[in-house]
Amino acid sequence: MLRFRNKIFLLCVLISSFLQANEAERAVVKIINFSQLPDWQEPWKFSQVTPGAGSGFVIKGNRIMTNAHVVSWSRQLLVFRYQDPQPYRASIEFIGHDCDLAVLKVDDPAFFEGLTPLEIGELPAVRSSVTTYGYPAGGQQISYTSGVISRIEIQRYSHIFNRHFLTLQTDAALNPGNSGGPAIQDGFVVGVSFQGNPELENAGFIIPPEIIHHFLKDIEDGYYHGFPDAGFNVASLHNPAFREYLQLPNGEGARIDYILEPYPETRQLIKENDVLLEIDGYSVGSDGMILYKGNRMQASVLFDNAQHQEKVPVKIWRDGTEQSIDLPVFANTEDRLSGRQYDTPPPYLMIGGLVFTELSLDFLRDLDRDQRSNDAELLYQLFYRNLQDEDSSRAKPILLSSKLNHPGNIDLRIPKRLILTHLNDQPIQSMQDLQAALQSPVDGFHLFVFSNHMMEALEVENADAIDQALLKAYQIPATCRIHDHE
Amino acid sequence: MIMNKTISIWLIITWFGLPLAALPWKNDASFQAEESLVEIEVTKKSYSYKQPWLTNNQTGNKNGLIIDHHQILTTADGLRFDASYRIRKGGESKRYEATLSSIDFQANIAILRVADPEFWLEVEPVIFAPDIPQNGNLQVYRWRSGRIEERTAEIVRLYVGSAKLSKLAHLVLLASSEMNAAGWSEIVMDGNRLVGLTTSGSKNKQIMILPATFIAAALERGPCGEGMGHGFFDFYWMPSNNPALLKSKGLDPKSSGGIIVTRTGILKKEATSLREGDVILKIDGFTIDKEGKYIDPKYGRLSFKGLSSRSHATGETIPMEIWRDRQMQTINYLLPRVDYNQGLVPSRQQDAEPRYLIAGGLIFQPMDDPLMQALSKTSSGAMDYFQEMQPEIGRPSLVVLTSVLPDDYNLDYENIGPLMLDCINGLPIHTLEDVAHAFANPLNGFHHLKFMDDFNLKHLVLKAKTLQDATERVLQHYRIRSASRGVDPLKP
Repeated sequence: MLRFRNKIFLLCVLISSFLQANEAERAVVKIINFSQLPDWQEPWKFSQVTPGAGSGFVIKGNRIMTNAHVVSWSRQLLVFRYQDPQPYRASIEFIGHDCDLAVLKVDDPAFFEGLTPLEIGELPAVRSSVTTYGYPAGGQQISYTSGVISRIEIQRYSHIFNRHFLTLQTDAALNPGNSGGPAIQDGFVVGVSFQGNPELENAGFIIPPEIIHHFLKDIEDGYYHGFPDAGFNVASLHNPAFREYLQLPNGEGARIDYILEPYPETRQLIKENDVLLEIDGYSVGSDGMILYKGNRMQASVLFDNAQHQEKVPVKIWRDGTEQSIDLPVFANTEDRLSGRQYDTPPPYLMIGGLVFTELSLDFLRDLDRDQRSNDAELLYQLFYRNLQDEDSSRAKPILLSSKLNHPGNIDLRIPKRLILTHLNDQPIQSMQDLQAALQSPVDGFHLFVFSNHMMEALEVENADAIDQALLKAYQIPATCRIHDHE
Repeated sequence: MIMNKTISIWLIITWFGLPLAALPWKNDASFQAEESLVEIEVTKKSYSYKQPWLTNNQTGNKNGLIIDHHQILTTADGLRFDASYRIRKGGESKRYEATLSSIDFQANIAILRVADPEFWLEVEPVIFAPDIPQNGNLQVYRWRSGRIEERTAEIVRLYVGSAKLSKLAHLVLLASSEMNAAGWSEIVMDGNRLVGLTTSGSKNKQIMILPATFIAAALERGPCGEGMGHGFFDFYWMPSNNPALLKSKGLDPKSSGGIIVTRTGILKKEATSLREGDVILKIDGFTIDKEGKYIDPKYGRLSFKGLSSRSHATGETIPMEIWRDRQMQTINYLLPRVDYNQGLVPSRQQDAEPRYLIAGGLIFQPMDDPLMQALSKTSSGAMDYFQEMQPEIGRPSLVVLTSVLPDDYNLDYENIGPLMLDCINGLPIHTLEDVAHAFANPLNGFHHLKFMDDFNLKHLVLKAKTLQDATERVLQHYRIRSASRGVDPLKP
C-alpha cells in the first residue's frame, strides 16, 4: 500500500515538473533588436541598422526580463511568443547597464494572454542542476541546455566593463542568442544567461537571483539608480607583521588599502589601513572573503545587496579598537567614461572643423589596437584619474576626436587624440567648460592648448564660416551635442 | 753608383709611370676592403632586468675599420667598457687582443686599439669622404665567414634623424641595399672614400648610415664627459603652418615662418633662455621655415634639429632670433650637457649593469627604459605614461618594487609588483639609496612601505627586526650572491 502511494506521489511530482517545464518554455520569448551604434570618433554619425537576436522571459506585471546588451542602442524591438510567428512591438521600460538587465513592456496586452510569468528563485547551490532556455543563434525553435552550477563568484560584467558582480558559472552550453534567457531550477528562475569567456571551455555565465532581485527592487520607485559601492579597495591581511603593526588580536579581518574617488562620505568615515571585520553581520576573513550562503566570496558582494544611498553596518578595527559604522553606499556615475556607455550618443562640439568629444572607453575601443596601445596618456587620463583627487575624478577629459578639413583649417597640423587642456585661456575639464570657454575668444581668436603643450588658433569669424560650410558638406545636424549628465 | 740610381728611377718611371699617373681613378674603383675592414669579436656580460643579479656571457661579431693613428673605428652599439675584444683582419683565423680606447654612446661611435705591432702590418687606413653624396650608388662591405661580402647600396635620401642610442639629432643617410641583417657597422664606401657606417637595417632592405662627416666631427669633439659632447636642443616644438596661430601672436603669416616652442627643459630642468610659446625665426644665422627646415649650404633643405650638432658642441651657445611678447628678440641658446641617466624615467644604455636592492625578498630597481622594456607586459598604465610623457610629478626619479622572492617574511606579498614606491617609513623614495636609507630608519619596529596610486596595492608592512635575517635567508635560498648592486651606501 505504502509502495503504491509512493508511486502515485512520484508520478504526481513528474507530471508537475513536466507541466512546470512546459509553462516555463511558454514564458520564454525571442527578441529581435534592430540597433544602431554611435560612432565615437565622428560622434554625429551612427552605424547602419543591424538586427540582433536574444531571449527573454515574462515576469510578473506583464513585463519581459532580458539582458541590457540584448536591447541596447535599439531603434526597434520585436518580441515573439513561444511557437507564435506574430511579432509584437516592445519597448524598454527600465535598463540597468551595470548589471546587464532590462525589463521590456509590450503595448499589445494580447501578448501576455495565457502566459504565466516566471518567478525569481534563490541562489542555487554549487553542483545543482539548471536548465537554460533561449533562442541561440537566432533559431526559430526554443533551445534547452542542461548543466550544473560549477562556481559562484564575482566576475567582470563585460557589457559595462568596469563593474564586477556575483556570477554563476555553468557547464550548460550557452551561445549567442541565449542572452536574456532564464536558467531554471525547480520551476524558478535562478539566473539570466548573459556572457561567455572565450578563454574557457564549457563555461557560460548567468546573472544570479541576488542581482535580479536588486534590479527589480531598484526600479520599484520608477527610476533605476544602479548598484552602489562602498568606495574602497580591500587587500588581504595574512602577513603577521602587518597584523601585529595593526595590533589585531586574532586572525580575522582584511585591510582597507585605499579609498576611491569620489566617495566623500566614505573618506570621512573610513581610513586607509582600517581593518574590515564584519559587513552586515558577516565576518570578513583575512583574505577579504565572507561565507555567503555556503560559498566563500569577496566581501564586496554585501555592498551590492544594498540599494543606492542605503547604509550598510560594518565593523572595523582602527587604532587597536573595534568600531561600528553605518556606511552609506552610492551608485557612482562619475566613472561612466571608464566603462561602456549606452542610451546617450557621445557629446561633441565642433570649432572650425576641429571636433572635440569626451575621452572614454568607447572612444578607445573604436581605435585600432596599435593606436590604442600607443596612447599611454589617454589610458592614464581615462583610468588613473579616479585615483588622484575628488576634482580630478569628476573631471571629464576632452580630446580632439577628428578634424574635418576645409580650406580655412587645412594648415592646422594638430594630431588627433590630443587632450585639450585650455580654450581661450580657460581650463577645460568637461564639455560644459568647452561650451562656456567658446563664448570668450581672445582678441578675435579661439586659442587652443593641448596636453602636450601644442597650441593652435582660429579666427572666430573664420571658424564659424568653416563650421557652417562643413555642416552642409557632410550633412552634420549641428555643431554640438552636449548632454547634462549631472 | 749614381748612374745606377738614376737608371733605376728611370726604369721605375718607365715601367710603372703609366699606372702611377692613373692612380686616382684606379683607387676609386679598387678599394681593397680586406686591407681596411676588420671583424671585431665582442665578449661581454649581459644582464636580465627581471633577475638583475644574474650575469650572462655573450659573444658577437661586428665590423670595424682601420683609420689613421692605428685606430679601429666602429659603432658603439653592443660595446661595453668591461667587454673583451678580439680583432680578425684579412679573413685570417688569427685574432688580436684589442682594448676599447673610447666610446661615445650618444653619437654611437667607438675606437679600439690593438697593441700587437704585427696587426698593423699590411693594413690600410681609410680616408673619410669630405662630403655626403646625395644620389647614386655606394658600396657596402662586411666580413662573412672569412670572406668579404660586397653589396651595392642605392642612396634614398639624406635627412636629419635621431642617433640610434640617444636623442642626438644628426644627418643620416638612408640607402637601399640587398645586404641582409645589416646595421652592425658595415662600412659604406664611395670608391675609396668612407661615406659612413651602418647603424641599422630594416626588413624592407633599407640601411641607415652614420655619415663619415659626422663621425669625423664627433671624434674631434669627443664624447660628453671626456670631451665636449654634442650639441642638443632640449625643447619640443611645433610647426607654424597655421596662419591664424602666427596672427594671434602678432606676426604676419605672409612674411614670417619659424617654429613654435611647446616645451622646454625636457632632459635638463635648469632655466633656459627659451620659453613656451616663443617663435624661433633664425638659428645660427639660418632662417627657419614654418615646418622647421633651413637651407643648408651643402645639403639643401634639412630639419633645424641638425643645427644643434652641425658645428656646435655642448656648452656652446647658438644665437637665435625669436618672437616673444610681440617683439623680435635675439637670445643665445646654451646647448645643455645631456645626461641620459637623468630624467623621471632615464634612458640608460640598454646593456648597462642593472642596479637593484633586495630587502626581505622584495626586489627594488630604479625605473628606467631598460627596466620598462623588461616589464613591458606587466607594467601599469601609470608606469607607461610616466615613461612616455616624462611628466612633472614632483619627484626626480622613481624606484619600482619589481617582484618578490617568496619567503615566510613576506607572506601575502608574493604576487605583488611592479609597484612604484612613494615612501618608506615616511621618507620619500627617489633612488635605491633612499630605499637603503629608509630601511635603516624603521618606525616603531616596523617598515611601512607606501606605493604610488596605481589601482594596485598601496600599503605594505614588514617587521624591522627580522629584515636582515630574512634578506640573508632569501639570498641563500635563491642562490643570489649579493643583496644589491650599484647602491652607494654613502649617498643619502
